[in-house]
Amino acid sequence: MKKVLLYILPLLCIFLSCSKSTGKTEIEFWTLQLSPTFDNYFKEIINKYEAEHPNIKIKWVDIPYDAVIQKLMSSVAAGNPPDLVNLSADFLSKFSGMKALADYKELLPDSLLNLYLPNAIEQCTYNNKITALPWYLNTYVLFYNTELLRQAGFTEKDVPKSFSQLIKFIRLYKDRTGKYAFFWNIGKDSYLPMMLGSEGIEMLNQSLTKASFNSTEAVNTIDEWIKLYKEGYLPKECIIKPGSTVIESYQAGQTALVFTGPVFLKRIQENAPAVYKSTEIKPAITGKTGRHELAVMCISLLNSSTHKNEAAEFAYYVTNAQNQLKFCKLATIYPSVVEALKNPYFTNDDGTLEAKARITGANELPFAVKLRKYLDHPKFDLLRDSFDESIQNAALGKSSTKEALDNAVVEWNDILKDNE
Amino acid sequence: MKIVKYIILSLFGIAAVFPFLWLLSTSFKGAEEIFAYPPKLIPTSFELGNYSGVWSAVPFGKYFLNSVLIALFTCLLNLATASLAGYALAHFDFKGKEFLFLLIPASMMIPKELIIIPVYISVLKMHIADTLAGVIIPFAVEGYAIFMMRQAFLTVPKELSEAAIIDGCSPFKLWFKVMLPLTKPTLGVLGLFTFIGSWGDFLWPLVVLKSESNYTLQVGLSYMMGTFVNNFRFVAAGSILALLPVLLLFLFSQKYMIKGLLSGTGK
Amino acid sequence: MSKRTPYYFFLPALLFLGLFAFLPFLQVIYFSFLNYNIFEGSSFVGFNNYVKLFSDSKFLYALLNSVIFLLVTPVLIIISLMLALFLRDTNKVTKFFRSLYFLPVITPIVIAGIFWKWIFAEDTGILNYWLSLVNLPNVSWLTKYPVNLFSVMIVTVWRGFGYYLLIFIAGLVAIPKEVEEAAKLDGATKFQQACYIILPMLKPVILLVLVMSSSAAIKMFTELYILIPGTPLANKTLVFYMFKYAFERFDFGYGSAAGVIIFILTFGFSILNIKLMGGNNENS
Repeated sequence: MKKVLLYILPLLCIFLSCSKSTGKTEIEFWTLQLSPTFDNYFKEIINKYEAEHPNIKIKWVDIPYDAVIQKLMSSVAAGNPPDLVNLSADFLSKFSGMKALADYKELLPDSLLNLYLPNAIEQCTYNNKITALPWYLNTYVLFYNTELLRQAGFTEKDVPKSFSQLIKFIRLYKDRTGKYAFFWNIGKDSYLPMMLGSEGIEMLNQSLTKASFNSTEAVNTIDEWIKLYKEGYLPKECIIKPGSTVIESYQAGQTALVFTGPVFLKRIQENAPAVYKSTEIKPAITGKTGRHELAVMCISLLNSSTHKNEAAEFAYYVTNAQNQLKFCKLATIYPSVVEALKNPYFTNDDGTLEAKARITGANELPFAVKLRKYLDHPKFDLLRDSFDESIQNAALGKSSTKEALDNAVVEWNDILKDNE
Repeated sequence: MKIVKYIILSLFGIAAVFPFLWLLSTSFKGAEEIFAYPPKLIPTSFELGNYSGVWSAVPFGKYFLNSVLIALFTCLLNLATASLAGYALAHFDFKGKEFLFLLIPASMMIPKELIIIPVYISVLKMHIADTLAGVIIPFAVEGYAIFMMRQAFLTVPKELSEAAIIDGCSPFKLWFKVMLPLTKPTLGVLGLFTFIGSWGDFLWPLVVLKSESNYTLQVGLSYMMGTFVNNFRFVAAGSILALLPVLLLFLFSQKYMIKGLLSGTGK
Repeated sequence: MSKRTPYYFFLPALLFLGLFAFLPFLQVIYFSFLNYNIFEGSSFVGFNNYVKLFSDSKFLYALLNSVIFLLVTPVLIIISLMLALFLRDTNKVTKFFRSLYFLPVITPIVIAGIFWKWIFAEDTGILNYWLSLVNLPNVSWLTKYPVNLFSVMIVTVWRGFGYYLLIFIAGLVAIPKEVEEAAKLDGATKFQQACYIILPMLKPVILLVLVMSSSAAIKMFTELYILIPGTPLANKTLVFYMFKYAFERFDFGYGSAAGVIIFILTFGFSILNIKLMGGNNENS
């Protein structure tokens, strides 16, 4: 008996937290890795909301990317899920078909829903249900290292604007300097689908039932990149490094161009001050359609919530024009509300690189769409993996580009067949 | 022959220490390139700014304390439980001993990621979710610890226990006053390992904790690497700070192990 | 003391392991017979998941890779034991080297990952640079299978040898000096001493390291995740397969089935070793 007490008592005394029931309605709100950057912001807007709604208590929990799915699943399985979850819109299709997410159309009036950017709301809509409120947006720009370009005998005029120009540039740059011009991921979290979308080449049909990226046009376009890899114009790791590493080579001063969001400028500034000093911005490279990619972060309401109306109200509050404007001044991201985007903050150039990046991205937003249509399918991760593998196979010479893509198309059609 | 030995030792040594040195030097680097290739080991200027920066960027002190408390109590639980069980397995014969012994490697083979969900449900039912206790209790006791202690007790002759018990000594007193001290080196190693395991644990604290005031160091450090915050110098400084307690514990436990050896083994 | 005393001694351990390891695992076994989407609900499907597993070539490859990965175990044992024999005495030099070798154990895996990615980098890495110095061609350390699996194994060994070194030292130190002195007097060389005296007495420790490192090898996740996340699933190990299905495809029943297979594999391997090395007997 003594031994048992020896173990348990000290623990009980020190570690048990007393949960007080406050009688208020508690809304639990999960965000994706916004701490500590936005700590003060959230404390401020939450305090304001609680002051205006005295019977509501907001519990804000910020979660690192790596564990959000496990944490979410554990909580749902255990029966204590959050009310609101901040997700990437890319991920929403996973839930379509399940009854996991609530439809905002039933909880908020159209007058409010119409305040959002139409292309942002579109990315949050599945089967005619608005499964998430758009929050902050991101798009792509081109960073280039003026010093490296100068050393290679290039000027700002030579910076490519289209993908075909990019391919030519990559070859010319390496031929002149022996170094790689550009790194982007083609074999894992591949950027090639984005490129295809911008070039107007469809990977699958509208109803998401048949894949079409083994058409002659698609094969030839993709093959250009495979040839680049095989002939040694792209760093070898392009086929295996995950998408989150796209900026590494540029940051290390090893490549001259990088295609990424303006929000990453700060990272370059902190980790590679010399590269930052030589960095300049241009609009993102586009294909024949001139379309850019739009990345939407949004807030979903779980159907398991017992306070749907209050949660929806709070979600709207977080994403309203005022708060989004404040939010987007803390990092180079964009609000999803039309009114907020009109703010001069997104058009006034004060001469800093940040401003230039911000404005360049802002100008692209109205034309930015989801270029990768396959994300609309709930099994998008299977599709993506299959495509990634086919690129790896082609790049490593295991099969010709056409063969690899043909095989992937067969796999895709198989996966798409199981559509509900 | 001796030279060969030292060459081997040194080669392994360089491979072992290099990443650590790079981390250390990055944590002191000022505004210079940190991802330059080939990697530069000596910083041009020694800056302490990264250390103060990471300390204030996240509530480092609080996270540190939480990690220490969790690790200490995990150690206590693991060492006590494992040495009790290990002793029983080594020095006594009882029905079902084989079966209980096999349970140990069985527990080691269960992939943790998979049982996180059922464990979380249990923890929730016990009302210890989002508490330090909730982090400690489920995974404090580990199979390999019992295994280790059993092997350690096996080196002490069984006859010693049998004789003492026949003489009327209480088994618990025997365990506590005689047997345990004889296994000091293993206890030292086990304590160190348990501390490291708990200190470096990321997934479970992340799943079970919600309140920032309970966060551990690893969880806190992971916040230093996101889209909006990715100052690698801070990460390096934070990693070094996170390393220090473990390093100190290592050096301390070495002394402890040696003392245990010198105090005689079973004589 | 009563007949029940040993049970009392074992009780706390049993309580913890029972409640937090075996009970959840039983639940996982139950899940493996379901089609379980945590957001939707479950339905009973019997052995369906297992049949699906064994008819998926990716799973079989992952199984193969996990078995290949078990090769780290003998490598770790040999390296750690050899270094432990060098460093068993305690003096300034050995303490220095022991501390040095311990650093990989405590270096954060992310840092280790960055470092090793440099070393293995195909175009700019040190290994290929050395190879080029002796006119050998570049090796795709991280991009080609199965080489990349071995690269990950190198990192696992690097992270572990300092750890198991300590266990071996603790074991070596427990060997009574008289036994070795007697052997020396009998004229045995250092090598003979090692083989015929020390090794047999270390059997329980070797067994411990074997079980620990093999279970760690099968459960290995982080090194692979950091070094070669981009390789296809068929080039990865079982844990990845389980992870992907349980947490990315939300197919928790299927993932659980994979987890059960992992358990059977590793448990079987351990039992085999234990029986082979007669681990349940005391060493003489």
